[in-house]
Amino acid sequence: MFPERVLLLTWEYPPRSISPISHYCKQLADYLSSKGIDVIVLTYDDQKPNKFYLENDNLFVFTVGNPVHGVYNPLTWSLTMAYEMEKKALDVIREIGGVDLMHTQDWLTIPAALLLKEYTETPLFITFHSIEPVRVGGACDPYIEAVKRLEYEGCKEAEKIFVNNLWMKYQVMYHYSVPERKVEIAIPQRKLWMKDVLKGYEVLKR
Amino acid sequence: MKVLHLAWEFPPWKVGGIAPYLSGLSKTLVKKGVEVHVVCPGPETKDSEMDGVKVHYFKADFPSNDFISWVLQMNFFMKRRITELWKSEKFDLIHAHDWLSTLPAIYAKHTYRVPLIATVHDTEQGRWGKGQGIPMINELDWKLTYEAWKISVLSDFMKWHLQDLFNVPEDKIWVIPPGIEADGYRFEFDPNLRNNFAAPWERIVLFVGRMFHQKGCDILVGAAPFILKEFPDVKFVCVGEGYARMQYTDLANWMGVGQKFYFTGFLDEFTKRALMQLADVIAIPSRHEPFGIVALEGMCAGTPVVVADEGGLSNIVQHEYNGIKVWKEHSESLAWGIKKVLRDPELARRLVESGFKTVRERYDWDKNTNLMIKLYEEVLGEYEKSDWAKAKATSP
Repeated sequence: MFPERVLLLTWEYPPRSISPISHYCKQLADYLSSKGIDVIVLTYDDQKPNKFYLENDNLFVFTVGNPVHGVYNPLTWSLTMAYEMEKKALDVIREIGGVDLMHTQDWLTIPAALLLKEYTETPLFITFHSIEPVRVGGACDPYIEAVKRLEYEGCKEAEKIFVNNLWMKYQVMYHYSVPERKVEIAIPQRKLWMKDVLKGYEVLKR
Repeated sequence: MKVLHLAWEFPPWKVGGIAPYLSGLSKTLVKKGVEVHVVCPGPETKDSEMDGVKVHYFKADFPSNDFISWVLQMNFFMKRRITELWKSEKFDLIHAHDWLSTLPAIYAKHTYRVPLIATVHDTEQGRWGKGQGIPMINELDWKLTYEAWKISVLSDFMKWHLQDLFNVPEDKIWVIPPGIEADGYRFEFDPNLRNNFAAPWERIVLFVGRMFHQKGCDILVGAAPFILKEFPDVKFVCVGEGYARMQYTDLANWMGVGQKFYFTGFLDEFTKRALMQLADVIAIPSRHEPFGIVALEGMCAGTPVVVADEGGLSNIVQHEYNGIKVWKEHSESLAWGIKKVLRDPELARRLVESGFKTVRERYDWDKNTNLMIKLYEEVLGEYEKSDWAKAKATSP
């Protein structure tokens, strides 16, 4: 069975739910664990940081907080939260002896994912629910450029990028010069879209 | 012993006081057999070597609207550089400088399980006043002192300041003053240089520092009328750049002493040092000074110093022995100190003589670096006996 262990990085996971990312992660984690894959979800939860709970035999959820208070925009939040996420992920990886792959969602968890990839040399997968150039249109600002840079670095380092539709696939390819073969479509509105994600993971077998 | 220094500046990239301090310290550490690596931002990503110090730059082109966003992005790329470097090099110690490298230092400490030493040059609350400043920077200041195995500070004042601010235990802080290359401040130069700053008959009162509230150049402007009343031949030369420069120029004009002030802006190191030798008095009226390197530079250049009785300056200067101490934030008191030196050439000569002796005895890189090595050895000794050394062995 491949993969045996998956580390899922996300900034929201039920019961914390702000955007569809939370539901997406839950569905994916449930599906993968039902297939006998060990899924470790590492998520942010400011109400209950540093908690661990077992959702089923194969699904482990860890929560982290942000070690720095007084952050004032999503960029500073993401860059500081990454420290707690990296620390927790490294503790878990040390404990269980490694994971086969990491899967992160959007740019907010990319800083943590990039560093973990560099340190543990674990393959990285990203789902882009949206990207900064799409969100802001043609607006230009140093903050936007900083977020775009993180997304670009993520695209560069990822083995595969999952998107929710064909339009987003073209956006990712256009804005970040990603080759077509690297971008996979998994449409969450379809039944068993998670199969497409699992199929995408198989790129590592080759 | 292999030490990894984390800093936000290192020559030729120089912004504040960390670059010259780290450059002096690391060079001397190398001479004493310590292998020193520095990770810091620079114009491009490259590895280079300066006087035996291995410097690992990473490109600092981070888009940002504000300084904190810049620092956090810089920290992110610093972490990646450390991770990349650690694959080929293994370090015994991490040494971080100020809040600007707090987060990468904590990351490296917990990831590689090696002890962290911090040098706190200054704090946010020190710069802006107790309870003031940016809360996030204040938190990073605290975090660095909390996570560090041991902390080194440059003056007794900073030791007290950290104890007062963050309740840091006394035995966790070591006072290790920096050194200064005293001979670098006495050299031959073109005597006509003086004409660029003052008329031949004028006496020069020099101020060197950034044009910020903290450095108190406005206090010197306030002292000018008191000095000029007795010594109308004094010219005030203020070297340094900063947001308050125009404000101070306006203040001098408003007080009717504008023609006696020359705000030079930023000057190159050679001219600055030459000017220090030319000056009759160096005034340092800082509101907050964690160490006060300008006082030492003045002593090296052979010019009497008049300093505010504040922070690190209080530790360096002994009243009427190697300088004159005056009340903090008090223009009249500053004027009194400057006039005292201008009035009494014999006192000025004595101050210069003792000042140079102070520098030779207390601020020698060679001697002070030995203290830093002692600190490293003590930390490593404690570390070897701790659980952390065992934990390191199990790191992936």
